[in-house]
Amino acid sequence: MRGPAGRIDRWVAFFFGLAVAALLAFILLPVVAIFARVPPGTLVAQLHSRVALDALEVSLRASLSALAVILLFGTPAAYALATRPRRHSATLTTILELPLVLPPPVAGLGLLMAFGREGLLGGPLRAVGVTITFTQIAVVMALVFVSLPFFVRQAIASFQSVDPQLIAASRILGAGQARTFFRVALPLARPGLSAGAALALARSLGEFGATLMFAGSLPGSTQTLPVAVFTELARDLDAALAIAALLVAISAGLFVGFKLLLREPHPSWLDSSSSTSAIV
Amino acid sequence: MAGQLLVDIRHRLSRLSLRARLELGGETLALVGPSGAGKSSLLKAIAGLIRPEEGRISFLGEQWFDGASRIHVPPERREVGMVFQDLALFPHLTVLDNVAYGVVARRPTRLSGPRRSTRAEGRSRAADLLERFGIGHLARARPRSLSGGEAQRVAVARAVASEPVVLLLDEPLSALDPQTKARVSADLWSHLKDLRLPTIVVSHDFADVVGLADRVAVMEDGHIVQAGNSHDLLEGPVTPFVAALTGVNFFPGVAAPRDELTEIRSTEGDAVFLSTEPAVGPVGVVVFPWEVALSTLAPEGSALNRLAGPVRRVSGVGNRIRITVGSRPSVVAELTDESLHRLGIAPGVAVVASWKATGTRLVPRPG
Amino acid sequence: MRCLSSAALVAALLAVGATACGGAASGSQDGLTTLTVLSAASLDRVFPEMATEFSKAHPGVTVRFSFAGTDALVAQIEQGSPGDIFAGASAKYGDQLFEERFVDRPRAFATNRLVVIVPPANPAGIASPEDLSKPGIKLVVGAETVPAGIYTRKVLANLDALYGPSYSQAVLANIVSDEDNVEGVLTKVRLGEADAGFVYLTDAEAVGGAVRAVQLPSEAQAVATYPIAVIRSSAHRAAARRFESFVLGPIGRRLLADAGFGPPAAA
Repeated sequence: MRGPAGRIDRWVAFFFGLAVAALLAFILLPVVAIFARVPPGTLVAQLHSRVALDALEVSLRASLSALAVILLFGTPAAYALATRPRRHSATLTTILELPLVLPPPVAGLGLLMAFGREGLLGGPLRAVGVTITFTQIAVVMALVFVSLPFFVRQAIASFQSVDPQLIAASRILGAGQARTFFRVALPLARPGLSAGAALALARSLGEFGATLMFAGSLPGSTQTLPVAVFTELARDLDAALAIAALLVAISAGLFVGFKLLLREPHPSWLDSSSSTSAIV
Repeated sequence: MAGQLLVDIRHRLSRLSLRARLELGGETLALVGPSGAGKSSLLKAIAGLIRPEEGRISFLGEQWFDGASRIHVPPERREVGMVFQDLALFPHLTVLDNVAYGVVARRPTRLSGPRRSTRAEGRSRAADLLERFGIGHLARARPRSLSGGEAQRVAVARAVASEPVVLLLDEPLSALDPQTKARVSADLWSHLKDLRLPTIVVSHDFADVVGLADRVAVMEDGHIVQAGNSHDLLEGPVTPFVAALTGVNFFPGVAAPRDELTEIRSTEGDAVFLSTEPAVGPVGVVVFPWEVALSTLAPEGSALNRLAGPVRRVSGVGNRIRITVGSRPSVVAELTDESLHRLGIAPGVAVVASWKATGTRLVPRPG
Repeated sequence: MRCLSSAALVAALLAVGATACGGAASGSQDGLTTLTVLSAASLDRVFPEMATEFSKAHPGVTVRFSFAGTDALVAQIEQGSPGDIFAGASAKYGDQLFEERFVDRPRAFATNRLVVIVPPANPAGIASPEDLSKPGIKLVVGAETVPAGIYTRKVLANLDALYGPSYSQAVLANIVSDEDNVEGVLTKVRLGEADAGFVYLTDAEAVGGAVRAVQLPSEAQAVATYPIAVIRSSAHRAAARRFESFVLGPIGRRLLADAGFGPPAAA
């Protein structure tokens, strides 16, 4: 009985290992290929090109602006949704998460139809002398639209993991809603919020379709790194690869940062009851 | 000073509807009941964490809640101190800052003076309190490094630091193991006595709170079914639950006079009890466990009430052992350790429980 | 790009294999042959008609298309994408592929002209190309990397002779987006987001009244020449050559003319 069972176990273990290896290879190969074709020296040299530098500046500025907007509005919104009964907030949360499943060009088209010159809000916006399409504001809006859910999801989960008794304790101790938010909820949710912010930033640095649709592409103004990769591909593969390599490096760096932030042990995950029971 | 805190509220919860009236003077009230009876919800309503559907809550004439005129004072303006079941210490703050939190956060009120305390003032007051509670050396510790007893004291210190007008304690001993519990409860009660605050202590265990409370209110199914001092409850429980809670055998039955005595037909099984107390109609038969004798043979003598059955359960600590007999209705006897061994009582052994007619109290029972 | 990458090598080897098996298939006239035409995006309306007519004349041969910007087509062919015919929107790219020995000698089969398009409401009031230099005009054009963008800049330079030396500079300053293909320009003008754009005449005609066309002076025109060539790695070279001749022949010319294309310059 031990013989065949052992053999089957070995095959099963082999198959599981194979599946992991195959998937790893499938994901790693294209990433490695970006760096493999052109010698590192050329990559670095290409990065000094006007196009790459302009796109890097546009991307960083727009992504950081988008992140600021997301943090400013997303944090209180996530707190509000996390502290309401789930049956009330579920629909609202789902709406905020919708961009996750929208193809980016659809998002871009939607933004055009809403905020474009001929869009739903086009008339009122024009009346106050505001045009959005083809501006850096349009880039930021596209980035906020697609990367907001990455932050909000994580932020809601982080606020939900804060023990509601701590919130109640703070209120009873005399702290109003604002003080409770800043002194208790925010510090306890911070590791999760930082992780969400890193994920949202990585997503907005990689955004392509919605930006192209809503903001167009003008070097030095609205052409972001991913759009530059696409445009440069037509002219010079090496330049496109250099920009792609830069994107891989930045995004992978942010993603690793995200993982580390989530792993960081923090007192907030241990409430006082677990320490009490630990002595039993 | 009776009736400082007046509570009369109705509120529908997911599984029960809360309908509670309560008056609290300067004393300590124990609110006892099974889990899910609505005790914690009542505390939350008093603290302002729950807004009841109807009713009134007031303190010394100040309206905290009035359903009719839509007054609902938020928790941070009620000046209530609360110790949560799992203490709810802020894990990201030191012990000192936990205790100082309420001092700094509390808005100025007629009691606390004209302005908010600064952080330095809060810390200095917190440090004083920690000394008074004998845990001054823990000021810089984080809550998760504390023992159960230490955490308990920090939680109480935090609750009273901002000088609340009412103190609410939700199951303050439930998170502790038996040895710690004995020590901590003695400690806790001595502090509570010193504070002389109107206090409500919630517990599911009568024994935990019976010693310290001036009054006991028993809550069942969203209602306060009985309130009084602990002796009143022990001697005259109005429901089987109150009886069980206070450790009394309680058999509902119907009484009728017979000779010089009263005969009570149990509503469960075909048992008939005799009592020296006069009564007619629906009554509760109350028998203290220590009045019940157990024997392995049919007993002789003046013990007139008998219930036979196998021993179901033997439990207890120290020298007082409680034996549950699986008769109909089942009965609890209390023996000493010695007599338990002398009689050879163990689960499964067939025994006869007996008690005298003079030891059979009758209490009125709602028909 | 000139060096043959390993990926291209693999593709080339695969293509050789495909040629070996495909030769027999196209040899037998009874067998069903499918031709893949890698064609410029601006041909996406006329070429399907071309395929219908071709299949009528050549039963047993069906034609399918892969439409993309010409630059993308060139990259695909260089990376070894399987296909039988290349039909681009720029003679330059045809010559490049020929030099790189990916295709047979290309032949010009049509020309296209640029036109300025404005939204039907013409919010910026553009009546002639000269108006494009007014400050504040929102202009979208093809990127410098795509043929339409290259032609646009050539035309603007030519117009300096008419409207003054700083004209093209002023117009280029009005560009709000370099689109990666003509469709992008067309979309943004149609939606009214941009005040004007440069597209091929055929694109403007295809969308009918959705945009208004402003003609460019013929002396400033940069004529786009469309090359067609059989891809060397094709498995159906005989059928591919027949399709090429059909496009260059009388029916092909008539269809292209109906769609707004001009005759090849040499003719």
